[in-house]
Amino acid sequence: MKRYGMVIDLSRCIGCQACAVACAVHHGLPKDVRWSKVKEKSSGSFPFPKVEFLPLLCMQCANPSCLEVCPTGATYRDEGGIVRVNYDRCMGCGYCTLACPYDARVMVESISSNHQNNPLTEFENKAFAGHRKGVVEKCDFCFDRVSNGEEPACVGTCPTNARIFGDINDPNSKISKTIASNPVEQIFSMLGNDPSVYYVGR
Amino acid sequence: MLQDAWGSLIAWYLFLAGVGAGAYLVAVVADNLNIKSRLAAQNAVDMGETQNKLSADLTGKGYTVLVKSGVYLGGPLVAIGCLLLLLEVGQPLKFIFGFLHPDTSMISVGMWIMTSFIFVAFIHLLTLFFKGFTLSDRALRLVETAAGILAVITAGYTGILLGVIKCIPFWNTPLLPVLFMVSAISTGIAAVILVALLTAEKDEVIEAIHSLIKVDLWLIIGELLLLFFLLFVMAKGNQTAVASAQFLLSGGYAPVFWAGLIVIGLLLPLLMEVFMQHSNKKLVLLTSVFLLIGGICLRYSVLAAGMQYPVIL
Repeated sequence: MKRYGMVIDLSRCIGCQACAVACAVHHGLPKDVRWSKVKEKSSGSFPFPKVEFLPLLCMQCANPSCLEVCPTGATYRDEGGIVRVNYDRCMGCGYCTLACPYDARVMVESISSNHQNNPLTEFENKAFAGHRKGVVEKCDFCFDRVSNGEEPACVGTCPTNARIFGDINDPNSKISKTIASNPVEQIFSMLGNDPSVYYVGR
Repeated sequence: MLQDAWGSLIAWYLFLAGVGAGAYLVAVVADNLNIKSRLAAQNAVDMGETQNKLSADLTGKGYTVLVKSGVYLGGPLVAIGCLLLLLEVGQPLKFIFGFLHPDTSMISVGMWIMTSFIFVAFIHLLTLFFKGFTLSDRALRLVETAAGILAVITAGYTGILLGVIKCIPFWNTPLLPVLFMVSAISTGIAAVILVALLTAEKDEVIEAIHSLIKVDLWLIIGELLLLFFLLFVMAKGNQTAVASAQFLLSGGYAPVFWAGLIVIGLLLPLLMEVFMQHSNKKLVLLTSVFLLIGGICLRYSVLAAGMQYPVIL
């Protein structure tokens, strides 16, 4: 069985947020609904200030907490190991948003324009059609693109090529070889979720 | 960061589920004591002891009021709590799918338990409400036992619901279900006392209420201890646990925690139960109200202090 995963090279990430924007645009995300983010942390002081970037998205865990707590079975894992949501089933209880240790799940409280308090733009009018209020959404590894042999939006758009995407169950894939030959880390590995997103170059 | 998924409506649902379950349990205990006292009365009659019969009769009347109060509170309060849930979820029409995963999801488990409890508790309620609807003694005991067991599970379940979330350290502790269960029984007692005093003659129920208060005293002490253990261990825990505890003890939620839960909700009722005359109707009613305020403040506080680990590598 395929298991799609990602390796993010933190030494290449420049915090430009292109990945976050590409995701929001590709999926037509309404205001305050974001599937992909880049966290910024500053430390130190002049003359040695430091800033670190941490791109975050759904970890597509092999043992997802969100799936475990979902009462309706709306959350499921597909044949590529991608954790998906059946929006026709989701009752919007929000339990999954509490259970996910990675802050990857977001409740759609309202569908409004990303542009202040203005009415929806022409683009948004079309793009928002695929979303509904009262359900919980999250990154789906762009399964719509992946099933066409393309890479997720965030991967393709990264100007520094900080992301590698592929099948981590295939030992000959580029990603598997990267994981095998680099000191990769997972976030919160001790919680037992077995995330499919790895980080390197800290 | 503090969770913002489960707010006011969930706090009230947790509170009502607890009080309802607790109140019903009081009814079950009172009913069993009632049977004992009826047997005592019958015994007294057989032995020709009028005085014993009279006192057993009075005790019996008191217990009957407690049973009625508990049963009329039990099913309805839990049902109202569930209705609040329906109002809270994003897609209420999909609620029915929630029954599908009791194997892994505590929400599913809760839906099954509470629906079953409400069903059985309402059967019991109907036997009290409709003179025409009677059950054989055996059937009634069966209903009571089933509903009683479901009530116990409901009381602890609300704590387990939060307790299984492993990335919120303030919730992920076995102390939580214990705390919620003790609170459920204590607030259940408070609600039953309230209803009993308001619907029956004081003289009829004062003995029975006196017994309830004597039990409740220890529940309050237990609750204070549990809260102390919870907050102490959290305050000595990891960064997120410390931040959660501080939020209640000295941070944004300190007023609700200290004034609403500790002082009004537990300390004052404790002092009143120890020092007041249990025959003072007004003070007893006030104690009950204070305990109920404490109950809702506890649920609000626990939900509000639920902080997830910040996502860092």
